Amino acid sequence: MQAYSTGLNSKNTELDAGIKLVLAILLAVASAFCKNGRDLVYFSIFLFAITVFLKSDLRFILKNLFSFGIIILTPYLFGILLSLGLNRLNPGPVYSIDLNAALLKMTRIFFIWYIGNLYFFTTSLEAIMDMFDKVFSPLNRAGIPVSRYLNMIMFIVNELSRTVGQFKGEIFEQAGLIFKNRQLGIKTRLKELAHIIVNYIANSLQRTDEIQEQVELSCVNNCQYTLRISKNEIAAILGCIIFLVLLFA
Amino acid sequence: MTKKKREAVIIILICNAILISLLELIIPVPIPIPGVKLGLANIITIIAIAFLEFKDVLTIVVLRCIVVGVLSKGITALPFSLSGGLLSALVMWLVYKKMSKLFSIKGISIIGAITHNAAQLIVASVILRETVVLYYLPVLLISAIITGLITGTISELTVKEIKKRGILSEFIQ
Repeated sequence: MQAYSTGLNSKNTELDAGIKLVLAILLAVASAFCKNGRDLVYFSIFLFAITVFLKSDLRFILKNLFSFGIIILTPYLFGILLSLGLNRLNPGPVYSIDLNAALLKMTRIFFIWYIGNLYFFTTSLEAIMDMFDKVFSPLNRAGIPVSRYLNMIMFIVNELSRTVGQFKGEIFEQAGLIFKNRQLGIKTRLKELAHIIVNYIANSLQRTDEIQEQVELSCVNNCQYTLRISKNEIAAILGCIIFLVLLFA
Repeated sequence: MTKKKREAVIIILICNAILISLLELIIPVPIPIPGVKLGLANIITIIAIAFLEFKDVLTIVVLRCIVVGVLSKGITALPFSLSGGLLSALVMWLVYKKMSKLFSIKGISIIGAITHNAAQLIVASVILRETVVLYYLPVLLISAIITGLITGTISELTVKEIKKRGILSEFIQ
């Protein structure tokens, strides 16, 4: 997990992961109650302040806008444009769209999207997994192996951090050569790519015993999470409550 | 095959799925359309369907979606990737197990891609409580046929090669 954790600003992890999650849920729920443009502007300013406070950067905001644009906005805008076009051809309530209501709804959904991502991007995965391990411990006792799956997630993230560089160096180069070679037909290219993928899978499966040992060792480190309430947590809770009271009062 | 060994193989396949999907950065998409991607991770889902038990397939899909959500797109995209991933895995598994005489792996991959895109759009429509989103469905369905065919071709070759070399032979049911 080291590689992933060190990618985060250490100051970001100061807030307790559990309290931060509760506050994130509270804000996400509150965003659904924004009724007009004024509420949305205040909410945007507050979210921007939180982003700065958590030392997240512009790249994070752009990344969020991009994924939101691809997954939600593109099909929605396509649908709206098609509806407007059809409404022109065949006027009637079937194809009419309330653009103000649509904008309000999209902004609220974006806020929820943003808050969720802000939480995960500014909290170390280790802290989140420890907290989930604690929260879901009753499920473990009931026979649902949540801890095992959380452990697997952590392990995969670690493993990816370790192997991604090697993969890019070796496999990207091989695949790049195939797709740059214009003399090869599409079938030959896909066949060559399949060979590369099979070789990679075969090689990686040779590490099964090693991975198995490492997974068993990593299971020893069990849940370390305890709820922590310091000055920072109290300030964050008060900040959120005061903002929400002022917004909806 | 011990439980721990099976777990290790699942971890390796999830890592492979995520790494293989990175190849999409260098493979040109025939027609660049927002929301359309090759879905090379589907190759691993098809391999899992061909060689592993259904619960392992589901584990691979769920954990892969969570890890990708955490590491890249953001966790809020999880409802979309999970719905698409799980439903397409279920449909592909059913077709592979019950109708493999009618459909090749290419066909199964196309069905999986169509299911994946349709499920994601339906979830978007439910979340937005708007049906206008579904107007985008024809665009995604046509692109699913093309991308499904490409990943299906690679998957078919990969599954054949894995069988030929006896990789994952311990898992064959």
